[in-house]
Amino acid sequence: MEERLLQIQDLHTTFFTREGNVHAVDGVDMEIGAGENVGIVGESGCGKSMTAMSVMGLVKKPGKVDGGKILFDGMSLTDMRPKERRKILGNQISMIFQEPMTSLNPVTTVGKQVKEALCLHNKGLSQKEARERVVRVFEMVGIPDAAKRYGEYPHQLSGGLRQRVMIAMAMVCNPKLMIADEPTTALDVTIEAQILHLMKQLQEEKGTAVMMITHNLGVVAQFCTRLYVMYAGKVMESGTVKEIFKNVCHPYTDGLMKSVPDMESKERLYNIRGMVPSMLHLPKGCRFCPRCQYSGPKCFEEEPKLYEVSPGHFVRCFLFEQQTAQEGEA
Amino acid sequence: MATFEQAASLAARLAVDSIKDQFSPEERLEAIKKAEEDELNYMPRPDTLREKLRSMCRENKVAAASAVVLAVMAFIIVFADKLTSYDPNMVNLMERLLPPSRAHWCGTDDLGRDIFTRILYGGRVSLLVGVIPTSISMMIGIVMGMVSGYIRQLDAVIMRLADIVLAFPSIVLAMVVMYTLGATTTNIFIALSMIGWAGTARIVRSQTLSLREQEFVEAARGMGVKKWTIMFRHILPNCLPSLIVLFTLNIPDAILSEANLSFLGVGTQPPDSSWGLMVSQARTYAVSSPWMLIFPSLAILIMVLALNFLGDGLRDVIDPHMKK
Repeated sequence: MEERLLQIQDLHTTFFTREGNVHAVDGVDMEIGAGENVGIVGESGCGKSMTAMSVMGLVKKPGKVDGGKILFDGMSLTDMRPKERRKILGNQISMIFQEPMTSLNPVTTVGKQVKEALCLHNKGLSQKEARERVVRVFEMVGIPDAAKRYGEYPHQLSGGLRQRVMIAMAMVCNPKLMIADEPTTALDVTIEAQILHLMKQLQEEKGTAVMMITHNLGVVAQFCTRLYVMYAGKVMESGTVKEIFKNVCHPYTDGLMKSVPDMESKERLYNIRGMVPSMLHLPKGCRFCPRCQYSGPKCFEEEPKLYEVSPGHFVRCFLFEQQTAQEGEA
Repeated sequence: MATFEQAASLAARLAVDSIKDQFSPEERLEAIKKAEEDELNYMPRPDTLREKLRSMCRENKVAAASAVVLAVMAFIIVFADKLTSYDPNMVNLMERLLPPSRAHWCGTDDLGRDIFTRILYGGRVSLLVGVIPTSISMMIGIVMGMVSGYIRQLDAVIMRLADIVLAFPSIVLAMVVMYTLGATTTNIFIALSMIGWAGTARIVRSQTLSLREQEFVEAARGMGVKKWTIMFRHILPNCLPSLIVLFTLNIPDAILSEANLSFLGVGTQPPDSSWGLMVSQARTYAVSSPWMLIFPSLAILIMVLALNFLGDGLRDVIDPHMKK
């Protein structure tokens, strides 16, 4: 890994609800290098979106980032004043949202919206220059008839086009980091392939780092170089995609992999038994142990740490404690 | 994925092949050239307000007619002294309570004054009273409502303030203002602006509350847009359609409130007139001399209807979904 662009250290994001405190993100460590593609995978409600929102500073009440550090390019986002943070948002870190249908203001033309994002961080730009640049970005993200589309409203565009507009909005200031929160979930599969292809292409051209949040392992395999698997607010396994796909360690990751439908197989589709635990009543010990087929008595008592099974490949499971102990504590 | 891409490219090739069969290469080249030229000639430009209004007039004849009616009304009210030879306040007891005739188009009232003339002059007060306090109170209401919906810490304070205004009988509140400040037209504006904002604030607040949770607002915050910019550039335009309707509904309210104030002696002072005042004064003669009631009421009715139709038309123009 080259230079570290984003460093998340022991991040805690908690929701203070009437029923109790929900630790949506519970001590997450993460690193994204410049120009790197990192995937975050997990079931619904495992805290992957909340991690992204914490980076963006968009956690809504009653939620709050109440511990840990987020370093971006050497600057601490968590200690920054809102005004300074706004300068970085959209400019150096941008986000693509899940729903292209609702992420655009319905009463403003798409061109204007992208132009607003551009002008916000480039005060000196004239209207005409800004407009030309927006049209160029539209062309870059493959919007046909870019000049014509500029003056159209979101409802006049298809889902795929809207997501392209969202990508254009995220790309227009040439950010260093782009957070994509399930960018293709709301799109059909043909468009999904196009959008992923486009993002990869832009990412290679501009050297933007991408944090890809998804629950689709296919997307990760195609798109990412490194992977974090999250479960109930914690990172369960992390490492390069190649390494993890070759050598699945954590029982949860293994379950996820098996749950991908296989065209050839005639067998019933595998599913991880049990349910995601309620974040209010997390099991003592390992969070995954009630659903884990390998869990032993120790799993119910103690919480495992991250063990390094091979260089750069970390697993939060006691099954790998021995292995690491032999190699020496990481 | 690879197999999918292969299938897609195969499908594309097949599609191209089928087109190839239909057209000669020259024809296709020409078509491509033409399409390219069209694109070059196309000037990207969103519709200006003028174009929008023009298209509204083309498609919505009622709205266009309403605009004309309002313009005519404004014209005759401004040039009232040029259009009628009577003095609106001249008492002529010889000619009291005359029905409409060639000399007095709308008849005369209980003091022998020409009703048509009084409608023209009274319109000055009524039109201003309809538009100015409504605009002011709506502006206050929009700011209050948006702040209270978006900045949640201020919500309770502003909404309790609005509750106080709404809980008070509005006419009493306005009377207090008029008594303390004195009965002038300017003070009518102040009094009516003070009582009118609370309703607007509530409506804007409720819309802001639902809009602020929308993803596009979150996306804007994610782009680093400031709070106030989000409120006025992203949320306000989404409230506009209902605000326009509200505006056209608030105007007759204001006109009637002014009539009530005048009737109670703290609004427009006799001998000056306003439409509302003329209607309330005509009550005693409603049966014996109905023209005293009918014509000022008609003036109010026409204005309110025209404003409503125009408001509908404007709302359609502003709503981008209605665009073809």
